[in-house]
Amino acid sequence: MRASLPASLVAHGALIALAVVGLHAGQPLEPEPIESISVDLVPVEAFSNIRVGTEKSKVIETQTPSAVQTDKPAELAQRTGNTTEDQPNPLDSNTPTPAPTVQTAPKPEPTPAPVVRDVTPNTPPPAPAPPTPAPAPEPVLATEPKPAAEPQPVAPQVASAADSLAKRRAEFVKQQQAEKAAAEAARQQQQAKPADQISDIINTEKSRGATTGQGGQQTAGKPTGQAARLTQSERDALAQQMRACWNPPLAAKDTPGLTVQLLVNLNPDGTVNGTPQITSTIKTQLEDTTARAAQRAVLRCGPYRLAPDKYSEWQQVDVTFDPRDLP
Amino acid sequence: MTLITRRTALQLGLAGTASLMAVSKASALVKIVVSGGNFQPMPVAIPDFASSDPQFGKDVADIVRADLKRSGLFVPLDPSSLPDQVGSVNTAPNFGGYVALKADAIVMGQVERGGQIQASVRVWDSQAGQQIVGQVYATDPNSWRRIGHIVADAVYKALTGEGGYFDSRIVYVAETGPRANRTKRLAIMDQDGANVQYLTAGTALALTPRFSPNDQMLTYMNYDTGQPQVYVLDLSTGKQERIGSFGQMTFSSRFSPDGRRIVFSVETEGTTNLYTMDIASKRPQQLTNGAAIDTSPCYSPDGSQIVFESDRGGTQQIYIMSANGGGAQRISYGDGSYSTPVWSPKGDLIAFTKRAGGQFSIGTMKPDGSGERILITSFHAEGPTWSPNGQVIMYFSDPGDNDGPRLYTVDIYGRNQQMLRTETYASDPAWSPLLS
Repeated sequence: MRASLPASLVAHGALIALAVVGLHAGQPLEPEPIESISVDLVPVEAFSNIRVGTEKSKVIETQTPSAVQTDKPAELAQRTGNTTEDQPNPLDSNTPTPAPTVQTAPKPEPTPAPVVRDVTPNTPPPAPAPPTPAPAPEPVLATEPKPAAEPQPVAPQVASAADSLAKRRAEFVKQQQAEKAAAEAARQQQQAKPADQISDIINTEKSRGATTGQGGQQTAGKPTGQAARLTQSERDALAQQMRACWNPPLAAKDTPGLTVQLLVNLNPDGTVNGTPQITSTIKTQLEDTTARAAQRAVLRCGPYRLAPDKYSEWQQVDVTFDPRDLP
Repeated sequence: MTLITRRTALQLGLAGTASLMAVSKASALVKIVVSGGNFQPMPVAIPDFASSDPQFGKDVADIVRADLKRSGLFVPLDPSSLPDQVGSVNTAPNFGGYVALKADAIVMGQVERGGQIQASVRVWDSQAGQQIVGQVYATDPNSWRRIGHIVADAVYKALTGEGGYFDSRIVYVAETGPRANRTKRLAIMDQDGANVQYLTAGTALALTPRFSPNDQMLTYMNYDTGQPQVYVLDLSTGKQERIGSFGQMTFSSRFSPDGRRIVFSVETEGTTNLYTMDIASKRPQQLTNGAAIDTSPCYSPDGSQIVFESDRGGTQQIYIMSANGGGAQRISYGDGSYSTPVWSPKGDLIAFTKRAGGQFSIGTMKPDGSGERILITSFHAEGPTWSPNGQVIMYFSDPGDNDGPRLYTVDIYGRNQQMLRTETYASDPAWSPLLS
C-alpha cells in the first residue's frame, strides 16, 4: 500500500506528461482543408404560424411572385456598405430613451380660419388714387376682441368646519396614494436590478455591426456564398501539368525531406501571373536550385487548363514540389 | 495534498485542446503536391565570352560548354543559334529570345589576358529573368584552360546546387606496349583529358597513385627496387621518396584527410595487415592483426573511420573500423565479393567494385551498408575514384583481348557513362580535390 500509491501517482503523472508532451513528437497533424458550411437562420414563427387548414376549405389561387421568372439574372452577393472597421457598441448613457408612442388620438380637425372683420370703419377713405397704380394698402386686419368674461355672481360662502374636514381627508388620501405609488415604483426598480446585472454579463460583445466594406476581420466563407472546390482529379491534372516541366537537380533526389513550396498566382486564362513566390525557407544552395527549378517548371508549363467557373478557387495555388520519387 | 486536482486536470485538458487547435489551422488555399519529375538535361545558352581577343573568348566559352555537356546535366545550345553571338556581362540579356529557344539559363562571360587571366561571369535564369550568380575570377596566365573550368564550376554550382568538379586533375597509370610486356608510367592530366604529363620514366612498374588532400603530393606503389614499396611524390618539385621499407611488400596506400598520415597494407609471411604512418615522424602503427588479407584502406572524410576490404570472413568483403584500429564491422552482405572501397568526399556513400556471376560492377552503398546501387556492370570494371563533389565516379574497364584498359566516368545515379579519351591505355585513375 505504502509503495503502490507513490508508484501509481508517478505512473499516472508520466502517462499524462507523455500525453501532453510526448505525443506531439509523432506524426504532425495535417488537417484536410475544411469548407465552411452556410447556415440559414429561420425564425420559429415560420413554423409556429402555420395554420391548419381543412379539407373542405376553398382553394384560392393567388399570384405568387416567382424568384425564377424574372428577367434579371441572379447576381452574386457582394459586400455592401462601406464601413472599414467593426462598429463599436453604443455606450450606455443616462439619458432615457424616449418611449415609443403610439398615436391613437384622432387627427386634429383643421381649425376654421378666423373670421376677418373690418374694424376700422371710421378711418377716412383713402386718398384719391394717384395716376400710377400704387399697391393698395393692405387692410389692417384684427381679430375680433374677445368679449370680456362676464363676472359670475358668486354666492357668498360660509366657511364651515365640515368642509375643511372633508378637504383634509381628501388631501390625506391623496398623500397616501402618492406614498403607495412611490413605494411600488421603488419595489419595481429593486426587481429590475438583478435582471440588468444579468444582461450586463451577457452583453459583453464589443461590436454588433460587422465590417461590410474593405478591411476589418472578414467573415468565414466565400462572397459567392458557395464553395466550388477543385475536385481531386482537377488537382491531380494541375499537378500533372506542372510535373511535365519539372526538372529538379539530381542531387535533390538523395536529400531526404527536401521539398520546396511555391505560391502561384494564376490569371483567369490559366497563365501564370508574375513569378511564383517561394514560401519555403531556403537554407542551402541545393534548396535554392530546387526552388528555381520548380519556378521554371511552373512558368514553362503554363497556361494551365482549369475550369474557368472555379477561378476564385484556383486563382492562387499552393504547390509543394517533392523530388523524392524522381526516377 | 493531491498533485492533480480537478482544476489542474481541467487546465491540462484545455491546454492540450488549445495546442491541437493551434496545429489544425485549416486554410482555404488549394494545395497540390508535385512529386517525382522527369530528369532532362537543362538547356543552357552560352554565347562566346567577350574579350579583346575574340578567339580567346571563344576558346574559353568552348571549354565551359564542353565541361557542362560532359557532366550530362546540361545541354549547351548551339552558339550560332543564340540571339547574342558574344555575351556581355554589363547588360542584362534579352530574356524573351532565350525563352523562345527554351534555354533555362544564360551564361554571359568576359575574359581578359594580362598579368593574370581575369574572368567575369554572370548566370541568368531566363524564365524568371533574374541573375543567379555573378562572379569574377583570376588565374595564372600559363594555365588558361583553368579559367574555363573555374567558370564551368561556378555555373555548375549555381544551377545544380552541388559544388563543381571541373577544376581538378586526374592521375592514372598510362599503359603502352603489347599486353604481355606493358610499360606502366604515372601520368597526370586535367579532368577533361587535356595537359597530359608523364611523371615517371616507365623503367619500373608504378601502380595505384593517390592524391594528397592538398593536391600537391602523390602516394603510389613502385617496383623500383624489385620489392614493391610505397612512395611519396611531390608534384611541385618532382622529388620522390620511399616512406619506409616494411615486410615483403607495401601497397594500396592512401593519404588521410588532413594529409599528415598515410594508411597502407603490409604483407609479411602470407598475412596482410593495415598500417598507418605519420609522414613527418615516419613512425608506423599497426591497425589490424590477423591471418587474413586486409587491404584497400580509405579514410572517411572526417578522418574518424577507415573502410577496407578483408577476406577474414571467407570472401572479400567491405569492413569499417575506427581510424585507430579495432571494432571492424562488415557492411557488405550482397552476393559475390566486394573490393576497393572508396569513401565519397561528401561522406554519404562508399563506392566499391563488386564481382558476382563472372561480371564486374561498380556501385555505391551508404556507410552503414544499406542502399546498395549498382551503377555499371561489364566484363571488367574496377578501381572507382570520386569526383571532388561526390557526384561522379571514374573507373577503368578493360575489354580484354588485344585491347587495353580505358577510363570511364558515370554519375552516382548510373547515368551518363562516358569514356575519357587518353592517348595511351589508362588504368587505376585517382581524382584530385578541387585545385582552387
